[in-house]
Amino acid sequence: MTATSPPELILSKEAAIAALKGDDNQIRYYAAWWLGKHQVEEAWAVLCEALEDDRYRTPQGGYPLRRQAARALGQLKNTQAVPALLEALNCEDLQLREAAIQALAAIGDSRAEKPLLELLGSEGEQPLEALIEALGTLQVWSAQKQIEGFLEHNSERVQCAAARYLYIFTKEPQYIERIIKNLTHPNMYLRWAAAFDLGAIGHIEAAEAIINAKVANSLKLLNLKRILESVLSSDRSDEVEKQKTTRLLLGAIDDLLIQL
Amino acid sequence: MNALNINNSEGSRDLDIAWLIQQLRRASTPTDTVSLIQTLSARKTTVENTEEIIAAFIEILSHHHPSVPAAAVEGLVKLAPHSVEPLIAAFRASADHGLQAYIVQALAKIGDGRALDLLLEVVGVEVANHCQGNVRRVAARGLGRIGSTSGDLEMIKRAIEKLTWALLKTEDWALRYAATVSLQEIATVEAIASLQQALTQEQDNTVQTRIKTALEEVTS
Repeated sequence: MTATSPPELILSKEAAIAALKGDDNQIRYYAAWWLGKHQVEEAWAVLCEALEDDRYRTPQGGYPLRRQAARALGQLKNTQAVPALLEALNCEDLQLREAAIQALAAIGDSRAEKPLLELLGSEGEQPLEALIEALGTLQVWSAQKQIEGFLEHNSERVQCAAARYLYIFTKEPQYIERIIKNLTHPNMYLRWAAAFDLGAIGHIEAAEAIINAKVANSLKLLNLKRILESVLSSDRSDEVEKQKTTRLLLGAIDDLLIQL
Repeated sequence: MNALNINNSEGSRDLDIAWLIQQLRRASTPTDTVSLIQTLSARKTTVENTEEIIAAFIEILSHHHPSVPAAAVEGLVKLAPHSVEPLIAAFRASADHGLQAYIVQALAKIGDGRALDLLLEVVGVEVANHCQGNVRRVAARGLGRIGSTSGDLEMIKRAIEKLTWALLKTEDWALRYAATVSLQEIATVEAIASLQQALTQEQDNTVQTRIKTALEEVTS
């Protein structure tokens, strides 16, 4: 494969794995994406190798291929990749650390808990939003005290991530209200992010806030779906309540279908 | 401004409408525009005037502020069935995807059989369609409305066929979900058979749950 070949030429697992080891950085990057997108299980080892790649660097010192490999490993969800992803947390590339944290959260392996807690307590800049989100996903509730401090952080996104973590843990309405506040934020990106935060919470209060929010209809549909799926997979003992919530969410989705 | 004379003159109704349409075209804020649309759609008027109002509403579907086309769509729905043919003609005459999306929405809400061919076309024939996902979904809901209100068996059959295809063969979960709701709305033996067939192959948890609910409701 030459540098001028369009990346669409990757048509098989074998071709993608070969391309990942090739010479053209753009194609290697595309191959990493392809392997994640198609969830090619046997690629976990080569993707772990790519986490240590030194050949593809940006002028600012970032490692695009490493980042993409971390994202792909998050899609494969293979626990064998956990040690390599933990190692990537030591890299100075902030975006790589962010991708690795997200991958570790997606894999859901408890070996990630301690290193992530250490990262939260460490000096220097960290991808805090991803970190707090991951601790919530992995249900590491021992970070509660520290995360309460982030409610006053100067980034609204970090505040919302903290509120989401604390809401999932405590179920106290004050925290969900903090996120709902952002659904009417003048900044479209923050409204959009708040809808995603609420979608991840998976509670009916969050659904109502999303239905009434000023965000795009497709975003409402997507996040109501996420809430519904978290309700469906929850092991709530009250079957009647679960059915009632399911009906309510389906009804809300039904009503949005004819909106653009 | 000649509006002052109009209110007192004979046959003022027609001139009144003409004046309102003129104001609509000149309105400078979205709020004014929306309230003029609402005033106009509430008027009882002659066929000729209705045509003029419809033309003005279709024109204003391209307005940049989203509250305006949304109000115009509601107005055009109220003016059905007169608005159906002009909407179809405007869809064919335009290449503006934003405008076409609102036309599809209006036609889907109206559910008139004359829009069947257009809606079938928008739902599409292949996975990668020129229309955006949300427009296909809205069109699929329109097919449900036509299929459940039309008395024409051939039309119902064509609507079910397209919805069955959308439910079984497309990648967009929201389109499959919309097809499910529409098939439930139609609820003929064929529509139910499609839902049952989809139940065995659907991989998405949300769509799968909606199919089950649909089957519970049509068979209860």
